Amino acid sequence: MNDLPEAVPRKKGPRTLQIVWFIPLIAALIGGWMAAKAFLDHGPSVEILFKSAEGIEANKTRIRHKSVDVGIVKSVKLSRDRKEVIVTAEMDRSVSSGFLVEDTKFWVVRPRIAGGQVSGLGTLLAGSYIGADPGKSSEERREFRGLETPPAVTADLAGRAYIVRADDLGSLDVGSPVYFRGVTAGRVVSIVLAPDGRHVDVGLFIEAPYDRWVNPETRFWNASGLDLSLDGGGLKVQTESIATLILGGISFESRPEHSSLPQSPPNAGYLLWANRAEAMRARETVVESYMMIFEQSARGLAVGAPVDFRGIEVGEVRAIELEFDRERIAFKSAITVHLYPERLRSRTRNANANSVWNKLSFAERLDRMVANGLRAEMKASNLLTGGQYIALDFVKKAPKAKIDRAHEPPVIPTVAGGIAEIQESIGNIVKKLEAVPFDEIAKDLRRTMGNLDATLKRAESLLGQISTDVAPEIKSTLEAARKTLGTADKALATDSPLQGDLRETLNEVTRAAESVRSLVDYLERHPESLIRGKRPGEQAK
Amino acid sequence: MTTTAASAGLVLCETCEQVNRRPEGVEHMACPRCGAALHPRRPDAISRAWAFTLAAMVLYIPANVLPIMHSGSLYGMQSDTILSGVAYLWRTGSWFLALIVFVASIVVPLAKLISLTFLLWAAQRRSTWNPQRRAKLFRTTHWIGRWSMVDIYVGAALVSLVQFRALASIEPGAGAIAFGAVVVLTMLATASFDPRLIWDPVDHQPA
Repeated sequence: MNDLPEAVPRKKGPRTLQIVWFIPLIAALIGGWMAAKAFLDHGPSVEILFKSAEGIEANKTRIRHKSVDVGIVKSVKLSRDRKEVIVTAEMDRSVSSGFLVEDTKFWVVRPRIAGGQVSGLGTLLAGSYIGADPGKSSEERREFRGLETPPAVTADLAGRAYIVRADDLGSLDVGSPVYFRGVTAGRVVSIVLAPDGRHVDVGLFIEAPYDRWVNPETRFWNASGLDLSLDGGGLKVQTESIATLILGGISFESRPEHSSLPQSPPNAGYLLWANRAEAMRARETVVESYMMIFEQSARGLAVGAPVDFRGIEVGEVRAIELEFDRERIAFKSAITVHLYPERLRSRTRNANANSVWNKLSFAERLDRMVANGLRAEMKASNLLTGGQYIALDFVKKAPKAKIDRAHEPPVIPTVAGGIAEIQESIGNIVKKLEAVPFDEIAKDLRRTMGNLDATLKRAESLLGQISTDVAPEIKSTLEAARKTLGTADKALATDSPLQGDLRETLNEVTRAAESVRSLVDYLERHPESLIRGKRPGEQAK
Repeated sequence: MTTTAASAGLVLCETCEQVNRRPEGVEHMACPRCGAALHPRRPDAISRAWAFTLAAMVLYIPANVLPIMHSGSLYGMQSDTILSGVAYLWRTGSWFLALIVFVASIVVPLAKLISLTFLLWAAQRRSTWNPQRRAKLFRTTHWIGRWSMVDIYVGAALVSLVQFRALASIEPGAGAIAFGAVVVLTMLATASFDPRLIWDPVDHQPA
């Protein structure tokens, strides 16, 4: 035993005791941190009501904002009345503050093909998720009603919302595009029928920077579908884009003179015009009311029918009423019109700003024009439909009249037009016919007829005389004439003796003439032969 | 009376296996041959083992509560804890696998923690109760330790193999780290415990 080596003393080693107890301390810290994290990660839970829980699964379906998971569905239950589905979800702690407020929106993202857009294709394989868009309100909330369709715009999108009032929605829908000069500038975000059911309020969201072009004078019009027009210039087809044919859409634009106006405040209201032409038409700033009283029927004249001066629309019919004229015991059509003085402005070539005419007010000008024969007249605008319009024009030889300014509104004198005019013309013709002395003419005619009768009788007796006395004479004369002609005919026939004799005689004459010609020739060459006689041996040629 | 090295005044060098005599009145000794520190019993064995065991106990909770694995596929992300994995296997009919995972991942670490606690408590109290059984329990605890790593191996293999980006991917969760820590800590606790401490009170008990 004692030969075993003895251990040598050693300096005191490191104090391992303290170090080893760090391990459980660290473990406790890590465990505590994990527990705390797990506890803190438990964000607020929210309840969302949906019509259907299609595609939503507890512990699987996520809530996402900008494709970032911000929560997970914890349970899916039916509501007590079994009409809705209550989805309870747990939000991440990180998004709790300011996220779950009153106007936060939730919707289920499913594959969707609508309005020319395909969205949510990723959910085909990965399953649906719940989209969330935090609102801007400061009021915290934990219960929400889920949207059935995704919102067209998210709250953090820069831009402004406006409202346009339409008579009819047409083919517009939530999500329909809004165009500014053909550029997609926004979307239709809401469609609300007015409480009185008379129009539809369409909510638009115009994205920045296009919202800068919406000013108080901006006009919105329905760009849906085709705008076909057939006029003197031919067939015109106008459409914003092929997509609007199917999807519908709204366009907006300002008239050039208004394009520099300041931007409208959000949620400003506008009217939705039917088309661009109507929307961009200059709005009348000065309107004057006048009345016209016609004795004829106002059938075919509608409110809105134009008042026309030499082919230019200077106003429109605002009201058509019946007026009873006590003095004459007759009904009359009282037409109230709006005249637009600015359209009736005359452009003179040698514009003289100081001319008397230019200084006159519209009323004074109209007075003068009426004094010169300006009258209102109802005319047929369309023979097929019987539509009528009111024409202002100078009528020649019109009876003197002036605008009745005692009446409110002032009354412009009228002339009967259209059918009434024709009736009057026919009346005039009838009057003239009445002036013709048909009785006397008849008497004279009868007398003349008597004379004619006697004359005819005399002529008849004369003709009888002719047939008995003159006719036989003529007959014998004609027979004699025919005999003479027959003789002549025979004498002139080719084979008649007279013809043969005549031909022979003519041959003789020809020969005699030849002899004379040779004699003459010979004499020309030998004139001396007249004296000496013919030389022997010389032939006459 | 059994003769032990300690009772005979001898001390074994655990490094070079040389048996040395123990000088009187010296606390810290070194081997005269190789210079390694010599001690009749592992120093602070009980407190070290306690430290590791307590740390393992603390981490056993997050290991079971937190997800051990995040598996992502086209159908979305899914997180599984050990228990939910076992439940899934059980539900889908893989009872045998479910049993293996349950035993290896839940029963064994728990059993190790309990047995370590018991052994440490008994050794600290210098209990003389049934030392043979306690020694057997210690050996079993030591031997069984490695089997708990099955889960970690499977997880590590899946995480490195299943990486198909969007199609499918598996990521370890915080639970896996805690679980691994539990296994390692229990093994360290077993290693730092000195089984001779089971027998010391038996030798020193009054006859």
